[in-house]
Amino acid sequence: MSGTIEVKDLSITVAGSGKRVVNGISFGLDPGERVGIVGESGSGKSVTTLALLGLLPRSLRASGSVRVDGTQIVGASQKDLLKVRGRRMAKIFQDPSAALDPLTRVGELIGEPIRRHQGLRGSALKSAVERSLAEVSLPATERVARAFPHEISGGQRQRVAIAMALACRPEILIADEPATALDVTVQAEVLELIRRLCADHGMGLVFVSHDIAVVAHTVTRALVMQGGRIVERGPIDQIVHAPTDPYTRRLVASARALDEALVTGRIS
Amino acid sequence: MSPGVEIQNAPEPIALALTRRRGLPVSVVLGLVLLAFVGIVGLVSVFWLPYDLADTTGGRLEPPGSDHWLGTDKLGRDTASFVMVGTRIALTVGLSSVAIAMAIGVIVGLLAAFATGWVDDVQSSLLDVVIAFPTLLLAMLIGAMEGASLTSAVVSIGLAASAVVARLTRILAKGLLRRQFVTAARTSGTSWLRIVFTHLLPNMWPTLVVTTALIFGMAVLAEASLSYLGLGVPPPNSSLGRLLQGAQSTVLTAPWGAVAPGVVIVVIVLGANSLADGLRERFDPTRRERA
Amino acid sequence: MTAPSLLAFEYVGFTYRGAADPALSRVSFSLPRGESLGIVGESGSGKSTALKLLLALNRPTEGRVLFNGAELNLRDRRQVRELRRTVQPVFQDPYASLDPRMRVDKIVAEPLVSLGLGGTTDQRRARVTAAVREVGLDVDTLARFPHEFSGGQRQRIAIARALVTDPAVLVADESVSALDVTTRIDVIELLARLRRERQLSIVMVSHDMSVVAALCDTTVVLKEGVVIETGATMSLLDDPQEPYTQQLISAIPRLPTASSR
Repeated sequence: MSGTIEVKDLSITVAGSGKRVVNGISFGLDPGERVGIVGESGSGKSVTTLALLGLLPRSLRASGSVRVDGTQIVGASQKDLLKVRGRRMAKIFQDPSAALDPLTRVGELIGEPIRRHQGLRGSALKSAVERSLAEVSLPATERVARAFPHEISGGQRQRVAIAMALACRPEILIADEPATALDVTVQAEVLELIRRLCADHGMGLVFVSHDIAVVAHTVTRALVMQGGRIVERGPIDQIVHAPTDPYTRRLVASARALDEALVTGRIS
Repeated sequence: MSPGVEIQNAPEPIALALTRRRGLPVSVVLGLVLLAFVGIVGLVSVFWLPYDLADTTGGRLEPPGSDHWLGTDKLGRDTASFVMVGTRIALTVGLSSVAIAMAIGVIVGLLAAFATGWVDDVQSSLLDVVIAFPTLLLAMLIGAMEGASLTSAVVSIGLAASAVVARLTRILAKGLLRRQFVTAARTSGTSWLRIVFTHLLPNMWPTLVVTTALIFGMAVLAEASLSYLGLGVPPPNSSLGRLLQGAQSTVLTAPWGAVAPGVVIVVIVLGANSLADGLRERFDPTRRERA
Repeated sequence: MTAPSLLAFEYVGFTYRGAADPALSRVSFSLPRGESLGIVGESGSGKSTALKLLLALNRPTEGRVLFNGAELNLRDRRQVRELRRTVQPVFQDPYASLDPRMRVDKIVAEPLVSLGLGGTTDQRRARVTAAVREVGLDVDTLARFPHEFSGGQRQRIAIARALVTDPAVLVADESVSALDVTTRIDVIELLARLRRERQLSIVMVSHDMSVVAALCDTTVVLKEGVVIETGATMSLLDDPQEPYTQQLISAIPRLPTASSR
C-alpha cells in the first residue's frame, strides 16, 4: 500500500470561467513504478502534477479523486497535505533556481529537511548532508556545502533540488520537466541520476515532459495528454513503436523527424 | 507548462482592455463619480456663487440653513461660496502640478534610463535627494523667493512630484530596454527616439496613468497643507486649507465651517486613490485570465 | 577570385565591461552568400555574444567583423543601415520579441518604416501582407495583437518581420527551441523552404544539433568562448573530432528505434 497513486476522474477547472484544463482523467502508479506523462503546452500535464501534491493555485479547482497511499488529496486540509508532501511524495521542478532559497547555503538547504524529518543534529547531520551530496553526484566538499545557489551551475542546482526532495526518503518522486532548462550534456546526466535514484530506493516516479524521447528513456509506462485528456496510454515501447492515437502518432513522427535530421541533414 | 516558454500574460492593449465585457471595476466608477462631483462644483463656481466672497451680510457663525447651505463664518460670509471657490483652486493646483510633474518627470526619467555607468549612478542619487526633500520646505523656499502665490504652490508641488515620476519612469524604461522586443526594434533599424515613442511610452503609460491619479490626490492634499500654513494661495482667493485653518478657533461652536472643506478634501483624495486603485487592477495583467 | 563572404568573424574577441574573462576569444568563421551556418554551444559558450556581434548590437573588443568584405563600423550609418536591411534576426522567445501593445501589421512593418524602405504606404502594406502570407498566416492576422496567437504563430510573425526587408541572412537565435515538438517541425520546415526559395542564408544559433543539422551546411562548435570544432555539419555529426563535440552529439535524447530494442 505504500507508494501508490490512484487518480480517478480528475478534472481541473479555472475558478472564474469554468474552463476545463484537465478533463476527467484516471491513472495509477504502482509502488516503485515509473510513469511518464507526455504532452505539449496547454495539455494539462503540469497542473495534473500540482493536483497530485494538492498544490493547485486558488484560481484552479480540482474535482474527482486523487489518492496517495489511500489518502484523499482533493479537498484535503493543509495538515493532511503536509503529511503526504515530503514524506510520501516530493517534487522537482523545471527551474531549480526558483525552488531554492537564494539566501541559503547549499548545505543548509539540504540539511534543513533532513533535520526536520530525520531529527539529526550536529555532526550526524553534517555527515548526512555529505551523504546526500554524494548521492546526487555532487562533490561532498565544504566548498559546495557553503555555496549559495547562484554560485553553482544550473545542473548542480537541479542536483541540489533533487537532494532536497530525497531528504525525507519519499516513496514517490514527481518530476516536472526536470531537465528541460539544462544544457544537453547536463540533461543526460540528470536524467540518469533520477533513474538511478528511483532504482536504488525503489521509489516511484511520475515524470512529466514535452519531450517524448526523454520520457522514453526514463519510464516504463506513459500517458499522452492533449487538451486536458489522456489520448493514449500503455507501455512506453508500445507508444513509441506502435502509437494508435493520431495525436500520439504526430508527436512520435515529429520526434523521429528530428532524429532523422541528424542522419540525413534534412527535415522530411 | 511548455518547454522553456513561460506563458506570460502579455498585457493587452488598453483600448481592448477597457472595452472587455467584464466592464470597469467598481473603484474606477466610484473614483470617477467622486471626482466628477467635485469637478462640477468647481466648474459652477466660475459662473455662479450663492454669495459674493466679499458679502458679509449673513449673521455671524450661522448654522447651515436654506439661506446659507453650509452656514457662515465669523465675519458673516457664506461658507458654501468659499468652499466652492476653494474646490476650484484645489483642482486647479492639482491638475497643473500633475501636468508639471508628468512633463518634467517623464522626460528626465527617460533620459536617466538611457544613461549608463557613473552618469546613471549620479542621476539616480540626485533623484533620491529630490524625493527626500520635503515638499513643504521646497514651497517655503519658493514662496520666500517669489512670494506665496498660486504659481509658487503649483511649481513647488509639481517639482517635488516630478522627482517621483522621474524615478518611476526610469525604472520602467530600464526594464523595457532589456526586453527582447526592444532589441528586435534596434535590429530593425529603429532609432532610439522612435523606440521611445513606439515601444517605451505605449508600454509604460498604464502605470503612468495610475501614478498620475495618485499624484493628483497627493497634490490636492499638499495644496491644502500649504495654505493651512499660509504658504499657499493668498487671499482674496479661497482655499480649502485656509478655510480649515480659519475655522479652527470656532470648531467647537460652529463645526460646519471645518467639516465642509474637510469633506471636499477627503472626497478628492479618495476619488483619486480609488480611481488609481481601479485602474491598476484593470491594467494588471496577472489579474486577468489567460487568453 | 571568389566573392567576399557576406559575413565573417576574424579573430573576434569580446569581453564584457567589468568581466575578468572574455566571453569570446579568437573566433573566426565566414558565411558565404547563400550558405547556412550553425553556431552550436551550451550555456556560457559565448554563442549569444557572437549573435550580438553579428547583429551589430555590440562591437568586438578584439578582431574584426566583416560585412561584404569590409570591416563593420558601428559609426558608419550607411553600412549599419545596409546591414540591418540585409541581416534580420528571429529571436528565441516569441512571447518576448513582439511588443505586446503593437498590432501585428505595425510589428511586421517596423523594419520598413524604420529603415525608410518599401516606398509608399500602400506599397509597404503590400509587402507586409506578402510577408505574412509567405510564412503561412492569414491576412486577418495583421489587425490583431500578439497575445492572441500561439507560440508557433508568434514565431511566424517574427519571421514575417524579418522577411519584410527582403534580407540575405536570417539570424535565428534558438528560434525553435521554445516551441512544442510538432510546432517546431513546422517552423523548421518553413525556414528550410525560405532557404530554398529565397536563397536565404540562415545563421542558426542553437544548442540543438538536430535543428542545425536540418538547416545548416556548416557548423561551428563553441565552448567557453572558443571555437572547438568547425566543419561541414554532416561530417561533423558523422565523425566528430573533438571529445566535446562527441559528447554534445551523443547526449541528444533520441527515440529508441525498433532495432535498438
